[in-house]
Amino acid sequence: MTAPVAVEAPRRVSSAQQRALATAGGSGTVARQIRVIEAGPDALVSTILSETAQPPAWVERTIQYEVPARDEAGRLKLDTLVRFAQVCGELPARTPKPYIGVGDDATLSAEWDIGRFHVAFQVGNDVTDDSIIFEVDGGEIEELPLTGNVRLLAVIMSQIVAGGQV
Amino acid sequence: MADHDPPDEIPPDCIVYRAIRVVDIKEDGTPKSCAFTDLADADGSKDYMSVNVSDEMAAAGKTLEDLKKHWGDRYEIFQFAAQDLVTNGERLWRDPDDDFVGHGACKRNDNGKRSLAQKRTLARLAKPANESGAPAGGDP
Repeated sequence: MTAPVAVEAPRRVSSAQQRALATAGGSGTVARQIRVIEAGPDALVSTILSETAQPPAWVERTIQYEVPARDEAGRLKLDTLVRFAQVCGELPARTPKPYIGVGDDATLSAEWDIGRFHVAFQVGNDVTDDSIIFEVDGGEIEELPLTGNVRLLAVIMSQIVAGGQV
Repeated sequence: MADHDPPDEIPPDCIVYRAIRVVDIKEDGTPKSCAFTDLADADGSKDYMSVNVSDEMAAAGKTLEDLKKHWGDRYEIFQFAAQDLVTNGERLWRDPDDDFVGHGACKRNDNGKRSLAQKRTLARLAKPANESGAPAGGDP
């Protein structure tokens, strides 16, 4: 059993981002307790996570900085950010950094162009917007609901990465 | 309607412009899928994707360069043929506003929300705008 790890977040990171990061597994490699230290009502966020593989290194910075910068109108809800972080946290560690986008329809998306493959997922303030798409060689776009298929996304990404497409 | 006014219906070969934030353009110059969404306004009054219709701009003496200046450096202008949008499940109509002449609206033809796959379809269709109206990049 690995000892709990304390992660001190930058002070400008919001409580919403802290929760999302904690949900995604931070930058750790095994089961851990994340203790986010910051003043305010959400000063202590402790989350015990199940044992997972190491999430990609870009996840934390993306949640902390890139998503807020893209969400200029402040449309995204906390729950949307959390679901996005959860999916990112399930991806293989070698997953390259995606293109991040915030739509005017209050959706948050990640998309990858990796060799022959285009892979993307989005989450929205309306959970029915959550979906995944796959595309090979610019052909037909296959879309699946995100719910129940996060593992599939991770496996496909793992196969793409392992196939030397990065 | 004055003689120089465009018809109400948008002709299939009419070029339709979409302004896209520079941050939503990928390194290869293609737009991200997130650039093709309806606007989630609180009052629902603009629950569609804003576009500008070239024939109406031309009738008013406005050019693509004028549209680029209107949107500024934070945006790039992409274009579609109206027919490409329609044949890919979109509905177009003129929707004049006070911001810039030729404002139009684009929405799923079933009036539903645009799915991620549909956004991606539009991202694949969109081409960097050019004054001639021909697709940039020498597409066949």
